[in-house]
Amino acid sequence: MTTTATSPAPAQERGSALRRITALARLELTMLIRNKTALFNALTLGPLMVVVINSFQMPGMDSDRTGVVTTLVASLVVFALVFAGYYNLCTTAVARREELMLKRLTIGEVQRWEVLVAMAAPALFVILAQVLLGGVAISVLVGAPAMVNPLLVVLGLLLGFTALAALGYATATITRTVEAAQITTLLPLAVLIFFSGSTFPFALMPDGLRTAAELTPLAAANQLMTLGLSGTAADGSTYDFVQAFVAGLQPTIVLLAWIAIGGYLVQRMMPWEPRR
Amino acid sequence: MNAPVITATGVRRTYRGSGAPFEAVRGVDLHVDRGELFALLGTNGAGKTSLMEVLEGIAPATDGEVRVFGADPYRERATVRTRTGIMLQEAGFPADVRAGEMVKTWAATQTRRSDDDVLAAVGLSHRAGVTVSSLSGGERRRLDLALALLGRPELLFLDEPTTGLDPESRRDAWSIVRARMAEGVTVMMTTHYLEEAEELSDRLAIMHGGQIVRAGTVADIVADEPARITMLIPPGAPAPPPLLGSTQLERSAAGTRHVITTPQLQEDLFSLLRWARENDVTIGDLDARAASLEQAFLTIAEGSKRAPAAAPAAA
Repeated sequence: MTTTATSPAPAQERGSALRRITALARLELTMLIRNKTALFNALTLGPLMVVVINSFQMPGMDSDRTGVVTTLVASLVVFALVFAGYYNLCTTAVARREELMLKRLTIGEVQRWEVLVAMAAPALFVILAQVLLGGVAISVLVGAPAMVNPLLVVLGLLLGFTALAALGYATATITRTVEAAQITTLLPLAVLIFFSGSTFPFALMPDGLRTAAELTPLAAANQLMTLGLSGTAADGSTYDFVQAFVAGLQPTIVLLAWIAIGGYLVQRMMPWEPRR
Repeated sequence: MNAPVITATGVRRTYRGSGAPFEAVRGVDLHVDRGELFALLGTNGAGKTSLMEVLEGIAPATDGEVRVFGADPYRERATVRTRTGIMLQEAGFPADVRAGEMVKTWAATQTRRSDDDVLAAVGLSHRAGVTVSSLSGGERRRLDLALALLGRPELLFLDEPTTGLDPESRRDAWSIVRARMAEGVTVMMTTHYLEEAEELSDRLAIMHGGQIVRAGTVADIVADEPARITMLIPPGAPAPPPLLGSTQLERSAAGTRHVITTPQLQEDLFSLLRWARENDVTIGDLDARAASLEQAFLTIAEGSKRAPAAAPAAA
């Protein structure tokens, strides 16, 4: 008689997925914490960046405290997302593939999407820590941010992280080695940072360029953050709590689209073992 | 009756890269019964690992059908995997992870929990707190085996499990496998060590060119191979009797060395001994042995150098 395999109930499967993700995420975090230098750099980067940016004499600094706080927080998040999110997850995925850990994970009960989620956990931890510690530094140096719509801030942070993580993994699909990641991420990094709205304010960009910039994921995350913090949109118009949701619709859709694109590329193209 | 745990029918696997497609597995039929240890042998590049990956559900078959516990191991991975343990030929660990952490993490991802101390089972208890990068190659292989044993799987896939192990560790690994088999675990294994296959397997198959070219028990596999008799006949002795096998001669001052390859070992040996007794000849260095698995394997490997592939066989 042939034994037939049975499928677990959906609720049981969801519980198992969470258990597996937690186990793998714990292992990734353990490795991060074990690497004291990386951890120190990751955690001090946020406050350090705030101190450095704040030392510049920005125009209107004395009269527009909210604007300064918004710029500092948005810049902090933008750089955290791009380096601790995008770049870090690209190199982590490539490193795990090179050391054949990804291949090992394909032989267990863990689903492939669960591996990717678990691998992103330390990056999210670092970003949240950077934002938290950077936020404390901003509060001490400039003043506590008075947020117009905190939900948009959280949404911008989480959707921005997910989109940048998906793009980091998508870049890993075309990156053979950790060393090669320095090359393959170069162009995406330049585009992400240049169009983010943090290095060159949207207001200074020509209309066409600004429209293109607003379609990039980091700019969309920046816009959601800025809307949530000060209620200010890329074109300079200001909104209250409810209006900010409507204004935040476009960047939200942009981020969801990038998550879908990144997710599709990863699902179709991700090699789970080194190419021979 | 023993139900097959694994069945493969007409399985093919083709790699499509930038160059011409390469068919690594070309129409394999096999079944592995419950509680059986089935060994897959073959030269490098014979298609063993490619076939194993299809059976393990790591890769889909390009054509043909595979069933493990009655389910498709690739498409119904989630259900099949809860009952299988896999030891790949090559799989790594993050360098900074400790052996104990790796086992704990792997156990936490499994549906079936067991209190087995798998590190103790593979003799690595004392290395639980050591990072993987500090383990020797053999210790890493043993950690691989420990992870495959976690959760008390009903089916073990072992892809060259003892490669890189010293003889003592190899024997220990065999003991572990035997102990699991005694509990009814089914094992599908590839190996380059023929004595390992002879020692452990109930049945085995030899692959060449992506096909199974010979399959069965060790006795079945070697049945078609001729036996060999070697002996030294002293100078001045009369000529030996005609034999069923063919003879090669090497002459030296000590006498003539006969190397006889025969399909009828017992009959030829009896003729020789009777001839020696009747003629009062003392045969030197007499050695008579039935065909070995190694000989069968080498015949296939040698043949593969001359012909691209032999006729496929079912296992």
